[in-house]
Parts: sequence; C-alpha cells; structure tokens
Amino acid sequence: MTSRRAFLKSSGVALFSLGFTAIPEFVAKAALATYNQTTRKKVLVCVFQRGAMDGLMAVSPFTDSNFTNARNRLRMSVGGENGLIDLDGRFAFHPAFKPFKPLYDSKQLAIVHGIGSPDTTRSHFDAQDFMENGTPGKKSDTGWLNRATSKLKGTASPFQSVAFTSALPLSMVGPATTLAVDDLRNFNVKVPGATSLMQSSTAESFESLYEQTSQELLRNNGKESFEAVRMLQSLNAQNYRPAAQYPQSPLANHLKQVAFLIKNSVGLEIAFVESTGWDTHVQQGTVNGQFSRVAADLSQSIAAFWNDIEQHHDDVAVLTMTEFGRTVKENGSGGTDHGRGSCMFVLGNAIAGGKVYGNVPQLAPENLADGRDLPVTTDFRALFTDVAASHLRINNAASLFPSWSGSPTNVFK
Amino acid sequence: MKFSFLFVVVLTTLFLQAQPISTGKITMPWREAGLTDRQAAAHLLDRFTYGARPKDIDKVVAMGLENWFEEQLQANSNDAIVKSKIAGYKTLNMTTREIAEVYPTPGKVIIELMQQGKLKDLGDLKDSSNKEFRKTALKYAYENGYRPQRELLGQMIANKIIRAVYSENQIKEVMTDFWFNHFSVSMVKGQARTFIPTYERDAIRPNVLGNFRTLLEATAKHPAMLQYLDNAQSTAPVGTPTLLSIALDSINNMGGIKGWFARRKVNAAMERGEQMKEEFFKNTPEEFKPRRGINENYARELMELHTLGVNGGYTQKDVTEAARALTGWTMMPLGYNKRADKINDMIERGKKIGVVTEGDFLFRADVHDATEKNILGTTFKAGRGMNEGEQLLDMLTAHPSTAKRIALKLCTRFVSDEPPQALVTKVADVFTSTRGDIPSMLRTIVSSPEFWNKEARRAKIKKPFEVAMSTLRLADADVTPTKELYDWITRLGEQLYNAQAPTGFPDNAKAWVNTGSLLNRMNFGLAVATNSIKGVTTNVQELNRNTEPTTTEEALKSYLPILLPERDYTETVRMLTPVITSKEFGDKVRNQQPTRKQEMDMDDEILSEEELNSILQEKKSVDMPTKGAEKPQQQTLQNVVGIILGSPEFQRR
Repeated sequence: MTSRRAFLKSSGVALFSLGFTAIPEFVAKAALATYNQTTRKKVLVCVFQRGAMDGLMAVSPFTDSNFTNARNRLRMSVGGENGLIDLDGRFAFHPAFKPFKPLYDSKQLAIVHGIGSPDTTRSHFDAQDFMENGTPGKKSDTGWLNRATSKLKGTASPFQSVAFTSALPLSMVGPATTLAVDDLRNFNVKVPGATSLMQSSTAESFESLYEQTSQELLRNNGKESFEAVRMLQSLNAQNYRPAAQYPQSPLANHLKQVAFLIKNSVGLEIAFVESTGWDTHVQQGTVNGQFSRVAADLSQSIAAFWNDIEQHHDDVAVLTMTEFGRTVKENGSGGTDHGRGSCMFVLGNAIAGGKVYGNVPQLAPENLADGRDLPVTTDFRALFTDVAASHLRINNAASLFPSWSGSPTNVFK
Repeated sequence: MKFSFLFVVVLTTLFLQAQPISTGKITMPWREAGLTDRQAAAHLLDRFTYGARPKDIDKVVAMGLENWFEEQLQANSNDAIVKSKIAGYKTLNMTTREIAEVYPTPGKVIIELMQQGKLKDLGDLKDSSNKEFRKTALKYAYENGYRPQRELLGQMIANKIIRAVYSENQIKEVMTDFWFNHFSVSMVKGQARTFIPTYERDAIRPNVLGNFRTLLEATAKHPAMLQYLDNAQSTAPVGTPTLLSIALDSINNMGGIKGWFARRKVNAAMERGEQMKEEFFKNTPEEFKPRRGINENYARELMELHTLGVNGGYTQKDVTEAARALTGWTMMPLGYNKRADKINDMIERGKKIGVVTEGDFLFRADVHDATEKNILGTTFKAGRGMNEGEQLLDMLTAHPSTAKRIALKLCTRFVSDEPPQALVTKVADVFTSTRGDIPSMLRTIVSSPEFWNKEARRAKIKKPFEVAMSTLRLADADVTPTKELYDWITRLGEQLYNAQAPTGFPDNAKAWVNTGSLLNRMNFGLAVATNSIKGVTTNVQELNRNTEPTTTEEALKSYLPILLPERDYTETVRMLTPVITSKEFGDKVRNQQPTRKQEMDMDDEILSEEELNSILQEKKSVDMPTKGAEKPQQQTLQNVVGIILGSPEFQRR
C-alpha cells in the first residue's frame, strides 16, 4: 500500500502546511478526488456493545421451554404490540429490535447466534481485550482492526480508520495509524477569540513542536492530528444534514458522523463506535427497563444510519460485537450474570441475511457451558475473518488472528 | 525439643509479622543519578503532586526533599484555601443517610410515586417528554424536600478539582485519585451514584496513606461499592441454609414449655416482619422487588481488580465460593426515615442471629449462606457469618499475587508505564513484610535508584485529569469549578467519576495519546491561557511577576521556566523562535482586532494563498513598523503561554 506520508506529499496535501486556514479549495478537492480514483472504498462499521449483551433476550429461542422456564421475571412471549417478534418460528427479536425487522426481511441483516470467545473468562475487561486483540486467552498490544488497517490496499487517508471515542479503543491500537475522535466539529486547533491567522500560526507552532519532540508517541500522533485537521477543514462538518432521523444518543451521534465521512468520500474504510449499558445484572426488564432502552438505542441508531447512507449500501457493512453473553437463568436481582455465547448482527447488501446462523442447542442444563451458559459454538474470529475477507477484501484474512486455524463463517452471499 | 521447635516457629512468625513499619529518615539517591537539587525536587513534585510550580521547587529544596516527602505522608498541612473554597458545598459534610434522604435516586422517586398511586404504569416513563408525569414528579420531589442529584455530584466534582489545584497535602490528593481509581466505583451505575461522595470521603480518603487491608475493608463495606458491584443484592438462594433458618430450626427442635414460648415469640416476630415487607412493597412492580440469589459480580472484581489480579491464581469456583461467603454483606436501608423505627427494631432483634451493623454497612445474617465454603484451598467452616468475609479479605491481602499487583500499580503510577521488575519486586516485598503499609511502599519507591534514573524522568505522559490540574496550577489560575471545566476534562478523555468499567481509568500513555486527544490537550492550554473557560481566570502578566517582555521571543524565554521549570527547553525555543519572531507572527498577532475579524475570515475563504500573501505584504508595509518595536500585547502573551501549556513537553511528567 502507498504509505500515507508518501501519498500526502505526492498529492499536494503537504502544501497545506504553508498555511492552516488558507487551504486552497482546489488542492483539497484534488486530494479528496485521489481517494475516489481508485476503486470505491469498502467501509466496515464496527459497533462494540460493551458490558455483554444478553443475546438470549435480543434473539430469543422462544420455543425452547428450557429457556422460558429459566426466566421468570424476564420471560416474554411472542406477538402483540409489545411481544417478541417472530423471525423463523424458533427465534424472535426482543421488541426493542423492531427497526431491525425490515432489514432482516430484506435479507440484508444476518444474525450469528451462540457466538463468542473460546476463552472462558467471564471478566468484561479480559473478554473485551481478547476480542479487540483478536487473540482469546492472550493479551497483546495490537488490535485486530489495527492489523486489518495495515493490510488495506490503496492510498491511505488520515480518516482511513476512525474510532468515535475519546480514547483509542484497543481494537484500533497498534502500529498502523488510526484516529480517535469524539466529535469531528472539535477537530482543530482553536485559540478562543483569535483571528483565523492567529489560529493558523498557533497551529503551526504546535505542529513544529510535536514534529520535533523526542517522545515518539507524541510525535507520531501529533503528525497524524495535523494531517487529519487539514483534510477535515475542506469539508463542512458543522452543517451536516443527515438524510434520516437519528435518535438522541452518543451512539446515534457517532454513527451520524460515520455517515458524514462516508458520504464525503474521505477515504474511510474502518469505523468503530461504542454502545454501552449492556451489563444488566440488576433489573434487566422486559418490554421496558435497561435492556430495552439500550437495545432500542442500538437498533434505532443503526437503522437510521443505514437509511442515511442509502446511496452507499453496496459499499458498507455493519458488524456488532459484544464480549460475551449472559446466564441462561436469571439471577436473584431480576438480571443476568456473565455468561458465554451471545449473538452478533451483520448488515450489508452482500450479506446472505434473513437468517439466524450458528448453532444454539436446546438449553437443557446438560447442553450448557458449565451447566449454566449458552455455549460458544461459533468462534468470533470465524465471523470477523469472513467480514475482513469478504467485505474488506483482505488477503489471507485469517492471519489477522494469530494461531487461529478455524474456518470462516459464510454469512456473505 | 518439640517445645523449642514451636518456640522458634512462634518467634519467627512474630518477627515476620512485627517487622517495624519504617518511618522517618529515608535517603533519596538523586545525586547518584546526576541530578541537581532543583531538578530532583522538580521530578519528585512532577510525580507526587498535580504540577511542580517554581515556588514549590523553591520550598522543597529549602526544606529538603526527604523532609518534604515525610511531611506530605503525614498529610496534615493546613489547607485554609481549600477550606474557604469548599465552604459553600454543604453536601460535603452530610452523612450517607442524610444524603440518601435529601438526594434520592430517580428510581426511588419512581417507586415512591408508584406506591402512592401517582404513577400507574412504568410504560409511562418511556415517553420522556411526558410533561404531565414530569410535573407530578417535580411537585412530589419539591414537597418532600428532595434535591436534584446533580447538585450533590457537582459538589463532589468541584471538591476534587479544588483539592487537586489548591491543597497543600498534594500526595494525599494524588493517592486519593489513585486508590479511588483502584477501587473504582462509577456514576455510570445509577444505584451507586448517591453514595460516591461519602465513599471517597469516608472509605477512600482517610486510608490512602494508611494500610491496604483497612482500605480494602472500608471499600467492601461502603454502600457505593456494595451497590456498584451488586453485592448488596447478593443473597443465599431460597433453600440454602442461612443463619436465620438454622436458628429457626433449633427453636423448632427445642422441647418443653420453653420451646413452646420461644416458638410463639419467634413466629409472631416473623409474621410482623412479613407484614412489614408486604406493606412496604405494596404497589411495587415485580421488577423492583428484591429476589433471593447469589450475585458474584463483587466477588469476581474483588479478586480480579482489587487484590489478586486476573492471573493471580483463582478459578471460577473460587469466585462463586467467595460470593457465597459474602452473601448478606449489604447496606443499611437508607432514605426510609418514616419507617426507621420499625427497621431498627427488626435489626436489633436480628443481632441475636448474627446481624451486624457498622455505620451504613449491614450484615444480614438472615440471607447469609451458612454452609461451608472452600476458597483458594482454604476451608471456611459453616455458619461463621460476617467473619467469613473478613477472613476472605485477610487471605486476599496476604496473598503474594496481591502484593505484586499493588506494587506494579504503584510503580506504574510513580515510575513508568513499564517499571523495572526489580523495583516492583522490592515494593511487593515491602507490601508483604508490612502487611500493606502504603507509606512504606512509597518510601521504597523514592529511595530506589530506579525512581531517579534517566529512563524514568519525564517518562510518564500525564493522564487527562493530571494535564488539566497541572495546567491550572502552573498557570496560577484562580479556579471556581464549573460544568464547563468538567466538560473540558471529559473532552480530554477522563470523565471524572464516570469510568466505564470497574477497572477504572488506565494509567499508561498508549491509552491516552491519540490524534484526537492531542488536539484537545493543545486547545485546553490555549483555552486556559486566554481565559476562555468559565470559572478559570489566569493573568499572564502576574504570572510573569509583571515583567513585561519587550518581544515575543523574550516572552517565550520568560514563560518557559515558569511553566516548564527545570526542564530542558532549548529544543522548544529553537522550534518556536522562528515562528513567533517572524514578521508574519507579529503581524498576525496585531491583525487580531475584532473589527478585522470579519475581513480576515473572508479573506481566507475567497483568496488563494498567493493573493493572500500579497495583501499581507501590503498591509505590513502600511500598518506595521519594524518587528518588535512595540511590546507584545496581552493576547500575544496569552498565546505564548497557551502554546507552552499545549506543548509536548508539558504533556510529560
């Protein structure tokens, strides 16, 4: 792949450093056009559901009496306005996932159930780390999306891999350059009350300082910051008008910005956003309650995003992930505790959707992991590999996951 | 022979246990590392305070580094400024009980509204724009003297900021942050929120320079932790023998008239209890009623995060068994003053079967799993009640994995992201020999060459709260905490009291340095220097002792030693001088008049670089005499200060 630095030099983006505010429009346009000359970029949007989603409540095996008997306060039935939404006679969406139903029906959305990590840890932090590292049972200092980034072909944009988080998530940590940003509108050097020339000279000062610092981490990240600032300045993020109605939430706000970057063809290839609040130990709720709230936010946000980028459906895939599932049986506090398998969603035009993949056994105690949890029957790396290979077109995608030798899923057409 | 053998064992044990906790004189080997007194003082202050100001360095050198350190470990310097700044924050002196009564969680208000029939259906809450309900709820809250939780939490946050900026007992503040983060609780969890202010004040703060075991138990028994990690809801499942069921069995087996009377009395009491429960949970939706069952969340994090560490040598079985030993560890029912008498009466009677109260902590013998447990290879005999949990805390504290983990965390905080193994081992040994004496571990760190080595100096990147606080201290800002300041710290990446996971916030550069966060760091420095944050006032002239620099270059050279004392900033000067002394910089600075703003912005929009330059040339020749002929203006100075505060060197400590 052409290195980012080489690209920036050759395309004239380096000229920007002559002056921050006075970016000649034509140079910016030319730079952006370069990204579009090559084949259209595929974009992978990863949504990490932190806290471990109860996959059995999201997509319930509602005909399994082992399951319905294990849940008392959390039991729900199919049908009616607030009931579970039947998918295939065996599984049903929790009502809060209603916005996913049309996507499932149009076969753009697939569900992989009983998915998780072969490592049996029930610690959020370990399990999240393992999933983000892509190395169950072993912690490392690179994330799988970072390794994927370094395998992407073609010219690299400063917005090639973006996490919409205030700190870089482990998935994106590593040698390849990735960007963490909470809000694109704040992405610039700002001297309050000063003229734009003052802003630009200040930015120049900072740039030269960060370029020269002996601290490598500060130096490299400083450089990337200023390159990204220049790219963004030529777009008008402040005035973005989405083509869909998003809910009001951090997740929705971040997906909106992903849509903005996609529509502006800035070279985005991997986006990472987070959804929180899934750790439902206490009062998980049914139609209402904590689970329902976060699930509604997730499904509404993703559905809005999907409508917003309608012109780009051929190029975009959305993948959700969560560190593990929750106990089959509800606990004493009206919630569920840390378990093993959960479910993940994949959305895209190339997905062979409208189907629940994976293997969910009858949830009799003898079929459960440690006698209590939905067993992991699909290794998350099988799905991640499939997505990396089929969607991001990464050669030998399995090598993103060291020491893994399983076969990928086949959720793509 | 046997006797003498035992005697030796006892003596050895005594010796090991009674190893004196070192106090007083330590030696810090900075001269061996080639540092001057001032450089050493700056390094020590960089690590153990929220920012080394030149005046702090003067003071520490004058009194001697070791003396300063010991004084800080005593942490009893007069904090007059802090006291006056926090005087208005009434919640800081309230008890947990008072807070629970005045600042109920929204959940509690909802339950009360439902119990009184003022809210029929939980579904009504789904529509947050439901104005009718909002009105009812607000009116109800007002009539009951309830206050909004944001007031409580705002005061807690303000207290943290004021202490970090102004306290004379800086090590205590740094350690409060450290231990709070180690035993992290978070506002992310609604049930715990109300209790976080007293958690920090009562469980953490008094123990941060004390003993680890004491600290551990204080956190384990505080409502904030009991709620945050759900132990307050963890009970023996129905059918498992509890201290209550065992007591009842023995009464049922009691013969004669004595037994008959005892049964009569107990049955009546049980019935009263049931009635009370029924009355209490009248109209409460199923979802809010307590249910019996083990919740192992706390037991797991206790081992994984608070003590042993994830590879510390425990299994899922140990977690479950520990959770059973901790069943019944819960909090006093708070915020129910109308029923206080009845509740107290019940608790008093419970003491006969092993119920214990300690402040806000309540051990409920009636729901404590009274069967035998086996944790980490040790058998816990059945039916020992609260002692089981305390024995568990003893065991975990004594475990070598705990010593290693705490030592590693301390060395990571005070030395480097990857501290030398030899140092970690040394500190772990001190943990073990002193049974968790925190000052002894800190003394060991600063007495070690590893602390003063070249590799360790400036090796840490400040985490967001440290960046923010050191900026305020070094810029000598007058600070009244505001939402805006809090939001800035959040934007830097650390939303105070809102850690997403029980791990707390990370303590390594990789987690904090990324492209987005660096821009925020630069912008924060600029915002402070330009007085753009509500509640934060700086005066760049006063900062410079009112010496007015005559050129921007002079400004740079006069502010660097103030903001980056005892650092080598030749590189910074070399890099910045061309930019700030160039004709362009002077002109740009002077082109800042508000009347010009519009014009300049428009220029930027429509002109090419070339055209713009030609106009600038023109303006220069018309408006501006030679550079440096005029003294730099206030805003120039602010900008210079802002650039230094946002510089890479300032990010290091």
